[in-house]
Amino acid sequence: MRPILLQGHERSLTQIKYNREGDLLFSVSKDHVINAWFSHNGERLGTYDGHGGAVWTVDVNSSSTLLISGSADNTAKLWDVSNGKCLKSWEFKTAVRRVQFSEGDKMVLLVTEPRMGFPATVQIFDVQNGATEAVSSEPLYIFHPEGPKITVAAWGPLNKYIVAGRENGSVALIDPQTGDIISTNMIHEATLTDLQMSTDRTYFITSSKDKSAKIIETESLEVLKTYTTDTPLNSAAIMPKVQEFVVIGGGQEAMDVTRTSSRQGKFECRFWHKILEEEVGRVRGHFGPINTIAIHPDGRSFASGGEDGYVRVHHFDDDFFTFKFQI
Amino acid sequence: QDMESSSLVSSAERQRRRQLLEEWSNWRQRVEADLVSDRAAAGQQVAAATAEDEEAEVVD
Repeated sequence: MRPILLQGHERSLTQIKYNREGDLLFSVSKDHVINAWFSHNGERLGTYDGHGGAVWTVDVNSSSTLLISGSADNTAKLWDVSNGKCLKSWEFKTAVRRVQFSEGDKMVLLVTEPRMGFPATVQIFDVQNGATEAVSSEPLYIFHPEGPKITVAAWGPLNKYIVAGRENGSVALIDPQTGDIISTNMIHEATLTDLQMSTDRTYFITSSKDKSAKIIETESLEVLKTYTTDTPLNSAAIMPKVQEFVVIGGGQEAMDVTRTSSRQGKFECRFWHKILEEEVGRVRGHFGPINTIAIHPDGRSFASGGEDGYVRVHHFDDDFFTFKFQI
Repeated sequence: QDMESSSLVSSAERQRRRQLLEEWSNWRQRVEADLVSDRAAAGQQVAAATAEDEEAEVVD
């Protein structure tokens, strides 16, 4: 399993995302750059230039025509995937920490962070397939959720809910029309760092600084599975096909390491059996914590983005596909 | 990749695994069925809204 190294960022990766077909991989970084790559060979398709700060988050719509990004420059931008043109830029009071297209791609969800007297907001914009005149400048909805800071968010099935993950380790279901918090559950002991939906959005995976990742049923927010590790986690992803695995990763920041670790900070992507909650393997390679993990929609490869500024794309070997637990 | 060696799994462990897989599969069946009916209901709503729009246009 020789990885392809994508070298196009000068600072740490913050999020990576495959498009629906999986032929493209988008990466964003603290270096202000958005890159698009061909996932099979690692060639760069292009860049999307315009942000003036760290880019925290990215998403692509299901027809791979529109890209949305959120940045520490207090803007979110909508891009034409094919030519790199910025179609729309929304300005906010604070940084944009999370963006996601809704099911059906008609709306986008944005999470802005609280800072200097400005409350955190969850905002929904109408993007109507990106025809510029149809993209709204004002949000359809803007909410100021009470309580601890929201760090991650995603749309639930049929856009019935927004699922938010918070700094205190809780998850909440938010009504996307009223902003009401429908239910909440304290599932982690420390901040949520990632939240990725399963293909049909009926369950999702969370990662936390409390060193664990969990599978949660969307409707009930009930914890179904727990994967406990020995290092703070930054990302977790569900394998959609081939194997019932999840992939999780993280690692202790160099400045946070108080004692020399025998495994040098544990910068590995860990594979766990999703249902049996047993670790099945690890993939090494990064020189710093793993910040973001994405799995190809066909389940035959995956990618990780690190604090070291690299994206590593791994295509699985044959033994990966034939692996079976004894039952 | 440190995949497990195959021969040293006790029958109790195999039983535990079978049970977990079965529970998951039952839960998936229930959730997927719910989602199908939710989708059908949402689809009907969309269809009804479109029908109303068309009627409104006729009135205009």
